[in-house]
Amino acid sequence: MVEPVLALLSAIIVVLGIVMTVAKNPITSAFSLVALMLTLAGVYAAIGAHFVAALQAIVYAGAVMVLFVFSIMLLNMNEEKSEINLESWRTYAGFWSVVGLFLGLAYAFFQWAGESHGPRPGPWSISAIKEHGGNVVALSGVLFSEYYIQFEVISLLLLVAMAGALVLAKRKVD
Amino acid sequence: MTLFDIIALLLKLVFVLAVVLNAVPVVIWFERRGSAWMQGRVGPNRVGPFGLLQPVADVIKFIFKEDFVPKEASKFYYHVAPMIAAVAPFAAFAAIPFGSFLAIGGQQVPLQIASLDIGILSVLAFAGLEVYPIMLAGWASNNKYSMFGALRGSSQMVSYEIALGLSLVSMLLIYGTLNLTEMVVYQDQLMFGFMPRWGIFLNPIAFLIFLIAIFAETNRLPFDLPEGDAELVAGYHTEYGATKFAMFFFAEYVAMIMASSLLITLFFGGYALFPGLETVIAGIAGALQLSPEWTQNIRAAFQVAGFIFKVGCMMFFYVWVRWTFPRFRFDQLMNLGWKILFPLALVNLLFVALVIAWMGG
Repeated sequence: MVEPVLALLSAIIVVLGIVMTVAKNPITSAFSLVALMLTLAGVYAAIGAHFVAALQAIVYAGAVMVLFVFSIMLLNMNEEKSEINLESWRTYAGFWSVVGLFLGLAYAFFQWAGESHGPRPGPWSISAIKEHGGNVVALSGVLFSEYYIQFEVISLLLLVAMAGALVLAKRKVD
Repeated sequence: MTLFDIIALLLKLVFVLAVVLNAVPVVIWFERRGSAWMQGRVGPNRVGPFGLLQPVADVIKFIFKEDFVPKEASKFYYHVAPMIAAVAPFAAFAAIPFGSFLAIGGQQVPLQIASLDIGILSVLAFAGLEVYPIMLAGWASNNKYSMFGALRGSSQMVSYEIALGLSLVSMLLIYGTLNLTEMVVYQDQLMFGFMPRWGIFLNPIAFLIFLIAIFAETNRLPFDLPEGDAELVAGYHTEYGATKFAMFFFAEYVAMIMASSLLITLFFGGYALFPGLETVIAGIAGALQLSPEWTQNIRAAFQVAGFIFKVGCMMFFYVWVRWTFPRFRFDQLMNLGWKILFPLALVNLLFVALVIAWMGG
């Protein structure tokens, strides 16, 4: 029941990713990314991780991408002119290095999949999560006990980033 | 999933869709008649009894108008924007419970399309998408007024989402759950023996912030700056006409009904019955010699009717505010959002958290 849905959603994600990369209009790129984020939320929902799905939709599609689109509109970006110069050696070097990187990653992935026979289950199986009282309870329990220090460090990091952005963006008043 | 579940799900989908779709023209009629009443006018009263068929006439007019597309508009996005606007608020209805459950042939049918553990988050996720049609419409129309409307709309919605989210967090601390049905069950009790334990009595400041924020989120007066007729012609939908304009118009009302339903669920006990109605139901069941199953069905009917009544009161409040307050200036709007509501929501959240910690969770 789940696998065909996942396959369909993954196919949509790949198509949207390609559209995002090759689109000449920045708004098209941004909106394919929005649709991609929502489809990814759909993938999470399909495997029963409703909490992560909702967060994915709220944070990425509902907040981060709004700011992206907002700045694209404010900067009034126009359609990108094609800048691929077929006579420059850089174009070919870039193309072949991307192909090489992709092949290397694919080789490494299949090597890994062949060795360990798929994913190894951790302590949080679906039944264990259900026993614990659902995704939210399980996740917050772990987050605020075992990984509490990491959680706080990340929030500190975000605070530093925010202060840094303020300092950089502040108008200099003489 | 059995056949029974699938049929029940489809019927619930149809029910919610039909109720919301049919509520929109009624609300529009009410807005026009209500505004006339508040301004000492007569209002539309020629089409049908009390002018009730006026929205039908409006819709027919919209459908038969010329479908105009501005020459310089970005065609694809120009057409897509009103569609997203009309769909996104409907999706948010999926997690809102409008009654407890029906008992049919020994099976329980919960009166909620999707009973999710994270109900409130899924409502927020879909409601958060309502900002895109405004941005898209403004950008795709290739018109400066539309663009201003879009920029105002998106910055306003993003700003007020923060205050809204924080007031929501303080309510989540009180309820201790993200499940909307559990929130309603929590509120379906009495405090001090006579007062319903509704969110508004537990946390009035969060209610106030949430109320103001949903006015901003749905772009209603006094926060209708994205449309701002006096300054921006019609804001983000200046270049829209005929059916596409009707879709924006329709979407605004669906979003209002959705926001009201969420507010009712969080602060006014959702479908929970008014105190005293339980004795009425017991009286009816006693007089008609009903089985417990049918008593539950009667209770569910009362709950659905009560929920619709509460949402109706909230829609009246929307209309009342619209025709009472003048429009804010944009800097006033931003000041209110960032310098008053945001700190107030933070302090309130801290206060609620301290009280809950003091009372021992």
